[in-house]
Amino acid sequence: MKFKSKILNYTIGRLFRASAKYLKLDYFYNTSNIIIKILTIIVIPLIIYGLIAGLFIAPSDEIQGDGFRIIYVHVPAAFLSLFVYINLAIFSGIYLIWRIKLFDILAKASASIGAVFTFIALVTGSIWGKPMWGTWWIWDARLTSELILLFLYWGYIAIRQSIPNEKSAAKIAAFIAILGIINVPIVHFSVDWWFTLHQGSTISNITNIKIASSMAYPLLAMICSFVLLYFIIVLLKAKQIILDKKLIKLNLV
Amino acid sequence: MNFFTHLNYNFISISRKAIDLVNPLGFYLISILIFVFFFGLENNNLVLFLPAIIWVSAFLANLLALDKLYSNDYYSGVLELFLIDKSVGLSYVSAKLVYYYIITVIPQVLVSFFVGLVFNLSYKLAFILALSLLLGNLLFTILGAIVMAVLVNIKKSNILTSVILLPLFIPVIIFASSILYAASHDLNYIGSIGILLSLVFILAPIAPFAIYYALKLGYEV
Repeated sequence: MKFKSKILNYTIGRLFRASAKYLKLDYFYNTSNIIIKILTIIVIPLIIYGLIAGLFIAPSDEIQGDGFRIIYVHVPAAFLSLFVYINLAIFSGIYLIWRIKLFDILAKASASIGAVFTFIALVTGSIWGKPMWGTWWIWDARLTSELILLFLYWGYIAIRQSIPNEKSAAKIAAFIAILGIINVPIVHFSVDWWFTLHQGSTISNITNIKIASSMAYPLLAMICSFVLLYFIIVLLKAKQIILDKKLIKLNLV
Repeated sequence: MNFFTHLNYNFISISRKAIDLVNPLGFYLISILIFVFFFGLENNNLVLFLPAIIWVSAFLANLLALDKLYSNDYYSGVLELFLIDKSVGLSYVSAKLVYYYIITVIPQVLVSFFVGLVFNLSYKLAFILALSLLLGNLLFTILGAIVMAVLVNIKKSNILTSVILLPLFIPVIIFASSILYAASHDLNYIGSIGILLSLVFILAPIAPFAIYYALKLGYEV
């Protein structure tokens, strides 16, 4: 795919060409350790603060009691499920346009992580739903669209698994990932568009937070730490994929 | 080769093999019958389930029919030649969409109107059912044509296609079901029809370019 807007293509292409050295797989493999270490140093205190402040210090909810505390896992996981998909689509787009292998590897690593986060969001949601709504599962807009997101990830992983040629699988999967991004706004806005049992978003924007600050700050900390955690896992997984490729190249597997 | 040459070529090839025209329709009717057996022949609730039955059957029939969309041209090797020039490729792709819509979808929509009447739907409800199918299947054709194009070089991609295509199609199903729900409860259904129409107007102009690019990508792999 050639970008029609030449200026944009030129500038971004030049940017990538200038950083070509850093986008090589070997360079990435060797230097990503530093990034992983830095992220780990940031994420550990953040996640400890989020968990302790969320699970023990924050006051219990007026209606839901202590049951609301699952929000500190559920909301970050649900946020991540969308965030990872958007990342997946962006990585795939960069791979399709400029054919940079590193981004394909990052996309491949993202897919299964996103699927796991979606699964966590669904499971914690249904654990939360049992005492509050009286049922594990209900066919409401939010839950259904989250399930569809899981199927989108499934489709992506299925393509990568079932097409034997690695390169063609990468291209087709990237195309499908971009096509699937139409579902993201539907998942995100389903709470506003339809009348559903699922409560509205707690933190839709930073300036208008609907809960007390002693509850909100741990939640924000948890969301940030989940995002950082995602980046750590993606880098680790990408390293592993690169290693796998090398082993296959050397006929060691 | 312009758009109408391609369309003509497609219609000539279907006229020589008319069974391809009837097969999806036959599958569609048979699968409706299977649902009917399970819900009971004298069940009054059948009216309640009928939109779902018709939509699922149309969906499956389309899924099977889409498999043949590019296969003839692919195996005869013509498809690759059409893709060399962009204007020829775009007109080929859009002719293929129009051809598929006329050959497979329009008969289904007409039949489903009469199926609705046979199952004691009112004229209005049967008409709305057919209308929702007309719009929804157009969207399904576009999405399916894109996905089939990118998988053109992959052999035996049947299950893969359905796994990819089903989640992509869910938004359309949500709005179509809300049309039918509103119509059967005497509520306002114009809004949902408007949303489906706007989806058509957004996707239809992009579709030929997306399919052309997808076909090129599919050949490249």
